[in-house]
Amino acid sequence: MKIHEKNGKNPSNLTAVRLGVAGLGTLALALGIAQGGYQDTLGKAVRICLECIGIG
Amino acid sequence: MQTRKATGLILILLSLCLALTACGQATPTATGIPGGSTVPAVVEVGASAPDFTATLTDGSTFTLSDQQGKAVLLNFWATWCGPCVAELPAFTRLVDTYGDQLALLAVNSGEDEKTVTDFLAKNGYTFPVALDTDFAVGSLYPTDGIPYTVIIDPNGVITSIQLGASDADSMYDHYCAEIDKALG
Amino acid sequence: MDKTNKRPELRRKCIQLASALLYNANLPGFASGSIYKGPSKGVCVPGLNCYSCPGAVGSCPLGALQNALSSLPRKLPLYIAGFLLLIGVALGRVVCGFLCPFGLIQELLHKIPTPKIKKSKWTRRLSWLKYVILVVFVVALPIWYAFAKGMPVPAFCKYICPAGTLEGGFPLLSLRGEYRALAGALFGWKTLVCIVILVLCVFLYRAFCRFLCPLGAIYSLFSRIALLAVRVDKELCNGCGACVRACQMDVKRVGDHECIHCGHCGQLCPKNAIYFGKERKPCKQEKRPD
Repeated sequence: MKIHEKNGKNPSNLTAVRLGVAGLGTLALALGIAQGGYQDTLGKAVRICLECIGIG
Repeated sequence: MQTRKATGLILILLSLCLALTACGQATPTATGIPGGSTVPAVVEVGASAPDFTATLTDGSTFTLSDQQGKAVLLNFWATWCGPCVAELPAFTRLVDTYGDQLALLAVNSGEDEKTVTDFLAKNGYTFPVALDTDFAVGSLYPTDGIPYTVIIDPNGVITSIQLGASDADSMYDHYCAEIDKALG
Repeated sequence: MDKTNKRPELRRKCIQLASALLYNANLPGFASGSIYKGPSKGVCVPGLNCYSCPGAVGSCPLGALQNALSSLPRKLPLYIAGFLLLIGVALGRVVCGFLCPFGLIQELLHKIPTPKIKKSKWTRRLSWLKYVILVVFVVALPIWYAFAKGMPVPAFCKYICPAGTLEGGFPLLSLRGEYRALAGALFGWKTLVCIVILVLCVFLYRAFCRFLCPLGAIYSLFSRIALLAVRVDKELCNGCGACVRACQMDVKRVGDHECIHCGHCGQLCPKNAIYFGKERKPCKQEKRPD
C-alpha cells in the first residue's frame, strides 16, 4: 500500500489558494478592527459575563 | 545543547511574563481599563461608595453625591451579557415600586451609544441608563464579572453587593429586600 | 529496534510549556484571584485558553468567536474570522500540537501509567463529533439566540468547554468567595463534564482534541493549505505505513485533518521521509543511499 501525500493541488495552485486565504484574512482583520472588533473583544474579556462561561 | 537552549528559552519567557504583568498593572491606556497610579477606594459592604458623575443616554448627568437621602441601586451591565439582560425588567418594576425613595442607575459597560440606545428602544426600557465607553465609572467599582450591582444607603454607605443574576422576578424580590434594608 | 530520538519531542514540550506560560503571563492574577484587564486581552491567542483564567493575558479565539456571532445581524465577526483565517493558513493544526495549553495538559495526563484505549475505526468515527459540536454549539446556537431572543449565548463556553472550567472556573471559585456563591446547577454540570473529559484523557490520548474540540475542527479545515506542517517526501516514502500505525491521533495519512503535527511519526519512519516545515521542492531533493 503506497501512502502518497495527496494534495489535490499542484504547487502554483496551492500558492494561489494560500495567498487568497491570507489576503482574505488580512482584509477581514482590518475591516474587523475598523468596525470595533478589537474593542468588542477587549470589553468582553475584561468584564466577563460569568454565566456565559458556566459559573452560574 | 538542547536542554540549555530550552532552559534559556523558558527563562526568557518567564521574564517576558513578568514584564507583561508589570505593564498591565501600571500605565492606564485608552483601550484597557484605566487604573493609573491612584489606588481606587475599596468597594465593599460598609465602605463609602466612590463618588462619580455619569452621562445618561438622554444627555443628562447623574452624580452620586447628589443622591443623598435616597437609596441608590447601581448596576453594571452590557447588551451582550445574557443574565444582565435577563434581569433588566426587574429595574422597571423597582423604579415603579420605590419612586422617589430610590435612585436607580444602570451603567452600561464599555459599549457605544448607538448599540445601547438601539437596544433600549427595541425593548422599551425607560429607567436611567448611563454610558461608560471608557470604563471611567467602571474603574471606580472594579469587578471581574457582570452583572454587578451595588446598593447604597441614603448616607452613601454600601449595604449590599450582588454579582451575577438569575431571572427578573427572583432578582426583583432580592433587590426589594436589600433596598428595604438600606432604607432602614 | 527503538530508533526514537527524544530531542524533538523534548523541544516540542518546551514550546508547549512556553506558550502556556506566555498565554497566562499574568501570574499575580492567581494570587489575587482576579482577571487581567490590560489591552492585550483584545487580542486572541491561537490555542484554547479561557479569558476567565486569572493568568490569561489574551482572549480565547473560540469564546471571542461565539461572543462576536451574538452581535449578528448588526455586526459580522470579521475581526475573529480574520484572525482564524491567518492562523489557519499559516499553522493549521500545528497550533494543536505546539501552541495549545489544554493539549499539553491532555498529553501529560496520558503519561499516567494505566492501560490505554487504542485507536480504532470507532475512534475515527467519533472524531467527526467535533465538527458537530462546532456547528451546533459554536455557530448555530449563538446565532439562533442572537436572532430569536436578542440574548447572546456562547453555548460552547457556557455548557461544554473544560478548559474554561479548569483554568477559569476552579481558580476563581477557590480564590474568591463571591464566585462560590454564584455556582449552581450549571457549574455543577460543567464540573462533571470537565472531570469526565480529564479522566478520559488518562486512558485515551488527547480525547478532547480528537472528539470534542471545535477549535481543532476549525484549524483542521486548513490541513491542505497550511504553510507549516508535518509532511511526507513522496520520493523517499516506501509505503510501509509505520507512520500511520504509530500515530496516536486518528489519521489516515500523515498531515491529514486529524494530524496535530507533533512529529512522532517522523521518529519512526525507516526512510526518514517525514519532515516538518514548508514543502520541499522535488527537483532539489538529494536521494539518500538506502
